[in-house]
Amino acid sequence: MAIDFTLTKEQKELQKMARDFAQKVLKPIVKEADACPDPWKGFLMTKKAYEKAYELGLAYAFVPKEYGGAGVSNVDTQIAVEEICAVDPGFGCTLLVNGLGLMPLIWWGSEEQKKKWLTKATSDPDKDFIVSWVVSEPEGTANFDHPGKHPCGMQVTADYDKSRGEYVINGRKMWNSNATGWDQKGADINVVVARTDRSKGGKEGLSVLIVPRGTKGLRVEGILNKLGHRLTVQPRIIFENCRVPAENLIAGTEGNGDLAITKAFTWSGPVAGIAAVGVMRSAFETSLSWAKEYAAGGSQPIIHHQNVGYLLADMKMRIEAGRYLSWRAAHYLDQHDSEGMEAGALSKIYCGELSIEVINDAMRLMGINSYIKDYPLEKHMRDALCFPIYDAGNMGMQRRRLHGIMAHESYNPMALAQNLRQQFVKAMHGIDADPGHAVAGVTGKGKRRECASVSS
Amino acid sequence: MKGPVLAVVELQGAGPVRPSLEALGQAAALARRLETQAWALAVGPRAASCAALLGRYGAQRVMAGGVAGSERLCALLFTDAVEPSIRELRPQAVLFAATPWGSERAARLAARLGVDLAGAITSWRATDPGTLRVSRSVYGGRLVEELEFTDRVPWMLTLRPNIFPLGPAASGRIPEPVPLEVPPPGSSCCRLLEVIVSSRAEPPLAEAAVVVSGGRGMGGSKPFSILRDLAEALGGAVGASRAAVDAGWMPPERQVGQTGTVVSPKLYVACGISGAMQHRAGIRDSRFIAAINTDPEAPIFRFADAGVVGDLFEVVPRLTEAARGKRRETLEKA
Amino acid sequence: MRICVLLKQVPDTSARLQAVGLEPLFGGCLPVVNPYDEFALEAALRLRESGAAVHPSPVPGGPGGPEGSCEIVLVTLCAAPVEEAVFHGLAMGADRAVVAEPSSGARWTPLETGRVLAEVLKTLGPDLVFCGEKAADDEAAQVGPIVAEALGVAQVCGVESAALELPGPALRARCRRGNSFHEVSCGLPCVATFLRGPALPRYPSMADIFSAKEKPVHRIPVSPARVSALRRVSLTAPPEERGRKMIRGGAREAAQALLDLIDRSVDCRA
Repeated sequence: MAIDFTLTKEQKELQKMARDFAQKVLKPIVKEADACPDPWKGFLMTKKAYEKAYELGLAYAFVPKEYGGAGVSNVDTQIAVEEICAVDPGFGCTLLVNGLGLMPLIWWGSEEQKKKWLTKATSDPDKDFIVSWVVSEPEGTANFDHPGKHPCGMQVTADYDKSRGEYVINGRKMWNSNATGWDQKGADINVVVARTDRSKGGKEGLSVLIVPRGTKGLRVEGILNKLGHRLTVQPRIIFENCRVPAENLIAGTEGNGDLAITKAFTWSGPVAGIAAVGVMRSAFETSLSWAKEYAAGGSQPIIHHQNVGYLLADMKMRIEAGRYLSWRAAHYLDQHDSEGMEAGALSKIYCGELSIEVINDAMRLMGINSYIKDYPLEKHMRDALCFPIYDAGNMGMQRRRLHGIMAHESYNPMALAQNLRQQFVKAMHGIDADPGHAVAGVTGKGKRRECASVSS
Repeated sequence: MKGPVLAVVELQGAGPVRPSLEALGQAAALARRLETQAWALAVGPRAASCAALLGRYGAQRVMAGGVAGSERLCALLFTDAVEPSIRELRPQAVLFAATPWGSERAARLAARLGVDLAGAITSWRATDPGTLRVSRSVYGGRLVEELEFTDRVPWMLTLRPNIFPLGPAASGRIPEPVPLEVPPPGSSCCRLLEVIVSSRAEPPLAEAAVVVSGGRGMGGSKPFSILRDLAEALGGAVGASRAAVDAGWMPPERQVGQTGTVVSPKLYVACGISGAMQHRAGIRDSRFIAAINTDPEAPIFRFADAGVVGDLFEVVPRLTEAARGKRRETLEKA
Repeated sequence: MRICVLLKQVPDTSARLQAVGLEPLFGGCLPVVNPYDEFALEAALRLRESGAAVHPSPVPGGPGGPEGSCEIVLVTLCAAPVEEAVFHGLAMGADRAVVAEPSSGARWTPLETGRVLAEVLKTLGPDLVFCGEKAADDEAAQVGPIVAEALGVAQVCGVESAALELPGPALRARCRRGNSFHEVSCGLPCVATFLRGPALPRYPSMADIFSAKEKPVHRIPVSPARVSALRRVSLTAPPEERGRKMIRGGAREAAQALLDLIDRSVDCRA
């Protein structure tokens, strides 16, 4: 009886701990931090809660035990993340990004690199160690695999200076959560994807470098003022001749920065999925208790009306479907060492887009009262609107990846159901990166016209 | 000759505490029902001098005794002290008030005698033939259980303070004190070093006739001073909801509710308290609940006798004024 | 030194309850550790962390605890599976657990519970027995004193905070009794019952949670010492809704009207 949707003792305890943390430590600061007109100030209000999360092991739980983390599985992470995001997904995002930044190191780093950087993250006496994942740029992230050479696709460059054994990073990044650190001088570790080979396209020319805090040439240029997810910050950053030693290039990612991006956002897929589930769940609970108490001037609470009951039923179906899809994606990642590009994308897209529908229904159920800030639904909606467009946007990256996977000759539609591993190859990033550029490996019936490949 | 119904009396400073007198009144009522005598037992050098007072509240005989210091015996030594006399007396029932003092001694004594104890009861009924049924709150006040004593061995009870009325003190025969043999305290390893009494002349929450409580709507600890003014004007105590205690505005001993103190005052005033189930469970036995809250949808209004939708910072001071005005009137008339 | 902490698993205090027959029906809630027992466990953990508890056991002839360390053992009596409560206690920091499993599901009185727990405790030879002042379900507040009586030791009730005094050793406790506080010093071994105190029970960290898996849980079958002389005959939910008279008007008028209504309805004089 292998399919088991029940929680183990440890998972129940973890759920309790995460829920207690979220309700008692995080919740009290959420309203004020979200309402703060200055996003930087709002972020600083979360610092104490972050330190407590660090103390409880929530900030680096995914780091393997030998480097000081709790070594938890993706499924265990799901349990904790849902509880935190049910209170605030912005704070959840801050924790998530620690993972986005460090997972490529865990997958590809050399033993010395892992020992050096991971142990630093898990043994901080100030309990506020924070990691950023510096990929997105002002021109977006979706064209990371553009086959054209610089300046197409990723425009931040890291040129190798042989004489000093250093990489020199130049360019502008944007949307990089946590990259401010707690004082706008940078995260403790900034994990940067940059073009190390200007002559190659995105699939061969990108690499991942570690830029530690204090490195000269990294500057925060401004904080973005967002509609929702306001407890987390994303800045504009500029690199101006920022130099890092060659050993800071994560071994194995040279020329494979594209794979690092895809795998990192695969890993975060179920996390973003369950984050959306958490928010949907809160919206559902709010509208359920509203329906059971509010009579709208009538003789009984509105739950007595079929319409309200049907709305609630439809909302609930979607929440449960989203949760188990997320769990399954996380489980698949555990089984296949995070090589689960299809699963990750499915859960991220589905749950995120669903959450907007569900919260919209919750608002329609509650009526115009849901439109004011006295009630939580407007914040849920503001937060949820981010889900389809962040963490590798559903249109530009996630669906594109699914498109690439399904179009590939090796695709097996039953692989997920049968728990078979599907090896991701670079050809699967997306088959329409540049419409005229034929991609090897894609088969299809019918004639294909030869298009001139884009050079320059 | 049937054994009596015995009430064990807690003495503090001036004499018996009020909850013990309530318990004594019930002991007398039970004794009448069982057609036997009501006795009181008190330990301490001044115990014998309380005989007259205890007689007025229902005791027909009073067992009293004890050398200096015996009024502060720890629970272990207290049990050692009274056990022989109680065994000899063979009472039908032994009643304590469910105060901290009474609860821990009653539990130990019952274990010593090898009998069950029903604690913090809120009502009792002597049914035929010869059984006793009692009611008590369980699950934090959410439910009420009724228990029945099946053996008569003695029945041991503790009575929740502020539930049973204090009968009018009857005049009449002063009961003759029966000397209580209190063995000299052995070396107890449990020493009471210091008693720190709360500086305010407030009754303990569990015994107060009036409780004025503040919740999340108070916004801080300083604002509780307006509740203290109102409590003083009404002759009561100040309490707090769990939210106020968790926020650090009031100390834990002030918490009213399921995981704090369950209260049963005549008047409970809830200020800025939304009325979550755990809080309501702690005030369910209040005679009259008044609520003041700015949110008309606050659950507390459904479970209150009277409600004011308004700003407690406006309403409470005016309530205090009005209460003081009435008190002055009454004093002037008297 | 060995500290035994008595744990009871109770239904979540925020669950909606209905009385069905003689047992309550819960609206699908998770059981929790009795909140007062959590305070007791937290006190034991802090005692250990303060270092004072690491010394030879003063229990003469008793098994005591391992030399030079402080062992915290959870002891619980429960018919239903107690996975969650015991696991939570281990995750908070207790070293191991002993679960007394009754043979029948019949309800146990505090007297029977206390006596059976005392028998289990005798095999462990604790220097200190900590437990919550009362349980959030039956609220009997008796098991502590009953265990103390059965073990023949002193009891310290209503503890808000405790520390270990050396030499002695003795338990130094601040106890809340109504409106006053008692500072008490009690020699070991003794039983202490805990109220909510200033030291809030800790959240177990991730590492604590996953290492708790390895901690031993020993199960002992038990049966009640005697047939209960006290039985439950009914369980009801008292009616909650009240008069709900809403008083209108500005602050002054409303305050006066409220006071008049109070005076008419109830005599507040003590």
